[in-house]
Amino acid sequence: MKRKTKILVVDDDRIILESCQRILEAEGYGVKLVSNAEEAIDALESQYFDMMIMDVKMPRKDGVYLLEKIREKWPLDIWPELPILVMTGYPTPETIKILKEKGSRFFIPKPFTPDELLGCVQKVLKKEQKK
Amino acid sequence: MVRENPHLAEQAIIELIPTPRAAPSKEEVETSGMALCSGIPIYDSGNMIGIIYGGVLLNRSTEIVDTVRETVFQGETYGGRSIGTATIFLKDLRISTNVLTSEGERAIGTRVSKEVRDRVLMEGKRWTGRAFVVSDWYITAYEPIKDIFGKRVGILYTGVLEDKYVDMRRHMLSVYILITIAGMGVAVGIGFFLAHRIADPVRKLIQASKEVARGNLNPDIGPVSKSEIGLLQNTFSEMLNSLKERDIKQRAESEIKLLQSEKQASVGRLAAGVAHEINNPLTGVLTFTHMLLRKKDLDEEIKKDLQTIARETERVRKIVKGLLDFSRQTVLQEEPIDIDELIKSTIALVENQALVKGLELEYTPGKQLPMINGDKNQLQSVLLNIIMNAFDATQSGGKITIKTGLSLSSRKTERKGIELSITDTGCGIPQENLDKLFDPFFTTKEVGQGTGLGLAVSYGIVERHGGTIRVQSEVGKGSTFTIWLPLEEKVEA
Repeated sequence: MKRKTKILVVDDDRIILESCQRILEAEGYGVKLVSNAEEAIDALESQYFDMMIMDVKMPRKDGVYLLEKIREKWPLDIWPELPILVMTGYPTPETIKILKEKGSRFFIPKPFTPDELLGCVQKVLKKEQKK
Repeated sequence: MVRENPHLAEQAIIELIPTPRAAPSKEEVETSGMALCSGIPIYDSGNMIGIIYGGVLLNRSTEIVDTVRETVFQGETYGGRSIGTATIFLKDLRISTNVLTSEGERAIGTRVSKEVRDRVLMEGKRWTGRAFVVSDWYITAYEPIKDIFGKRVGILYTGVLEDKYVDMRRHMLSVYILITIAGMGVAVGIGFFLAHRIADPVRKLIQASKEVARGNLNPDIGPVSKSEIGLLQNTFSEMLNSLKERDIKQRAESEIKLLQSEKQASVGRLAAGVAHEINNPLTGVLTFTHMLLRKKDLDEEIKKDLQTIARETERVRKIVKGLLDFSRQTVLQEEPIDIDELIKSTIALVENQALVKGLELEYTPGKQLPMINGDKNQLQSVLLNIIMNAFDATQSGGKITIKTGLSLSSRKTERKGIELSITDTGCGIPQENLDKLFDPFFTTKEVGQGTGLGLAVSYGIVERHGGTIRVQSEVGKGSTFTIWLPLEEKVEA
């Protein structure tokens, strides 16, 4: 049997974590939930994830910090790229620009329906498989 | 003479008095006389029997000359002296005269000037003109006296004292000079007065213009003159008044605009905050509703309820999205836009809807409009919003007219721009709603039909393009939305 696709979800809001867990687990994905950037780094250090879903606006260390930290710890020339889907509540062109500079290529605006989230996740994973 | 009357001989003797300008004479006494004589033959039965002969000695006689003076000059005097004088000369000697010497005596014994003597006595010609007689200048006439043999024996003279005319001339001259001076004085005075009357208000007007240029719209233009200058002053005042009115209007407009901007900004901030906070719980509601709906064995009633929750949550999501669109300080993705093309593509989007609603959609493009710089998508959303509003406001059979043209901005510097008007024949907007039209969340549509954000968002978009939106509306007749967009590069204030 195929190995479960494992997804790390980072958000400071409990309801987002719960929603993602509910949607993704129902679809058969393995889900790990963390509520800040530090926890996310710890999780990434301790185990392998197929992709990460993250919020941008978080207290203390935000999504941009997390992206920088990941690039720093797992440089692209050594490690395969971790596909990241960014959840944005208030995506201004400036925010998108900064996030793109930091290496994220996939975005989903909040609020989303289960179908929308699954659509995005599948798209991200498919693109990564093609590589 | 001695024979006739020794007395006469005595009367005839005249001592020559040296006279200036007279021809020199060796004689000192004149003993001959001049007489006016007459002889009449006496007849007896046809035969002449004798002659009566008589004469009047003119020497020292006063009768003739004085008669001349009295009859010709009416005895007029000037400066104590007779104006008119008459003299009978024997040769060049005054023998009968009323010309007086400086001592006031009759100037008998004095002589005529040499020039007169030469001309009248010698040449036998008349002399008229100015002449020096004894001691004064006279305007004179001399004529030779001839005896019965035609020989020139003396001169008859009449003269008018020149002094009177000289004085008269002097008098006239001084009168003329006085009149001239007085005239000049009056002219200068009037000139000064007129110049003052005209120049003063003009000077004040110039000063006032300078003040207006400096921004003072209440300059002193002085009292209003009754002349044409007054007209100018009145026109100037009228101009000032319209300037003031325009100023007040502009101020009011900019205040409204500022108020509108502030309102938009504060509502925008609030909306952004609220929207952001709502997004997360909304995700939760959407997630769990949809997850529940996925269950196969759902009771029909519960399924319906869940669908209602999902639908209404969807509505909330739309409102929140509208809020975010509204509040977002979007950077304009500017590019050159052909307004004509933009309108045509927008019309293509709504044509079917117009057809369904039974509305006529007419587009009158302005000729040769230049391209403008702007965000195509955002401007199209503005157009769509206003056209859709027009659709909603207009009953079947109504008409929507879109027009474009070149126009100057109504406010501030008169910048060139493109004006785009959308006119409907719909229900119109009541006066009390016109002020709130661009307020966020202001809507007259039924609940669920509109968020009240469309025009607020449109307003923000047009404003970010440096343009304006105006509305004119009459209840029952329809509304016109006029969008003005600047042509040149936006000049940031």
